[in-house]
Order: sequence, then structure tokens, then C-alpha cells
Amino acid sequence: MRMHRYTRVPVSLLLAVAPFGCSAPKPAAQTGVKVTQIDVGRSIAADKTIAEKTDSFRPADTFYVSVKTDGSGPSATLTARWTYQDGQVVDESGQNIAPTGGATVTEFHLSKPDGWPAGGYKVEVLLNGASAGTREFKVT
Amino acid sequence: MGIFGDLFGKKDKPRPDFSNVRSGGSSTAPTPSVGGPETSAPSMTTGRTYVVVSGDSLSKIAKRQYGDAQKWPKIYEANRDIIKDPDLIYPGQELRIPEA
Repeated sequence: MRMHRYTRVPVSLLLAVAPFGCSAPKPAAQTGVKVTQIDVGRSIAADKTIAEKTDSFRPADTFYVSVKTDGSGPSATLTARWTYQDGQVVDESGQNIAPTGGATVTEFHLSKPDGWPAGGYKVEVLLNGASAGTREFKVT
Repeated sequence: MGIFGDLFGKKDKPRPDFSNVRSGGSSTAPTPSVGGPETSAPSMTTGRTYVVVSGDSLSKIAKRQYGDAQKWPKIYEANRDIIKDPDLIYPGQELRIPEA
């Protein structure tokens, strides 16, 4: 008798919760991929981590953001959205990844041949469209 | 409008031009399988991929990736299997960006 009660309760709970879990619009929860670290700098190493971290750039520098992720999933989209201090979107680009487990590193970079205007900048990293973190830096 | 700006010493500052910005990226993670046999090779040396975002057009993407909006046919040709009409691309589409 008790066995039946114990088994029925969880099943009914699952049935009640299932529609929300299945219809969740954000694939981030389904892929099991999460962002664990975001770094900004002016150069990267071979493993795509930031070799020279900084939040103060020169006009001729290339901006790099390195995004460490953990977990696995068949498809996840990482996006870097760079904005200037006036709110202008400087660039937005994405990469689709399919991590198979463990840590992976994805880098985005941005350059401007005629030099960056001085001022404050921000890069927002999104995982499957949801913000995963923001880093601010400046050009002097 | 302009009078008020002048009165308060607020001259219209030209907005910085970011149209010639070049972006790129790469990952240690494999790219999602799209039916081809190679599923685990990083995308770095075989050309980049770009995920379309709202407001994009092929010429905008070409401008960012190559610094020249006129090179949009290059992206179009590389993605003929997923782009039926070059004037219609959709957020979330993953485009191959061939080397310039």
C-alpha cells in the first residue's frame, strides 16, 4: 500500500511539472551548457584563453573576449554583443558550438583598422539568447 | 530643437562610425553536426560560421566580416543550401563565412 502511495505522488508531480519543462523556450536548460568564465584582453593564447587581460585598451588594439563553458549539448549558441558608451551596438556575432563535455573555450575578437574611438565599451555574452555576463572596458 | 542645443552649448556630436569593424571568433568546442561526416573538427581553419541576428543583411555581414559590403555574394554563394533569397535571412541561421 505504501509503495503505491510513494510511486503515485512523484508521478503526479511529474505530470504537473512536465508541461512547463518540455515547453520551456530557452534551450540553455536543455543543453546543459553553462558559461563559467568571461575574460577580456588584448591577445589570446593557443587555447583561446586571454593571454593579456586588461580593461584598458589603446585605439589600435584588438578586443578579445574569451568565454569558458562547461557541460555538453548538441547545439548551443554563444553571442558577443559589443556596445559603445552611447548605447550604439558596435558588433554582434555568434558561434554555434556542440560541446561534448568538460570545459571548452570560445573567443570572439573585434578590430577596427582606423582605430577605436576613446570611451567606454561593454561586451555582453549571451548563451542561447540569455545574458551570461557582461564585461566593461575602456579605450584611452 | 537646434536652437535649444545651441543655447545650452550642446552641439551635435558626431556619432562614432563603427561600420568598418571586423569581427571573428573560434572555439575549442566542436561545431554542431549539420549532416556532414566531420563533426568534431574546430571551425577555425575551415572558415568561420556566423549566426544571423535581428537586423542583419548579407551586405551588413559582409561589411563586418570582410570590411566590404560588396562581397555579400561570397557569403550567399557559400550558403545557397540555406538561403533561398539573398534579401531574406533569419535570426538564428548559421552561415558559413568563407575566407576573404
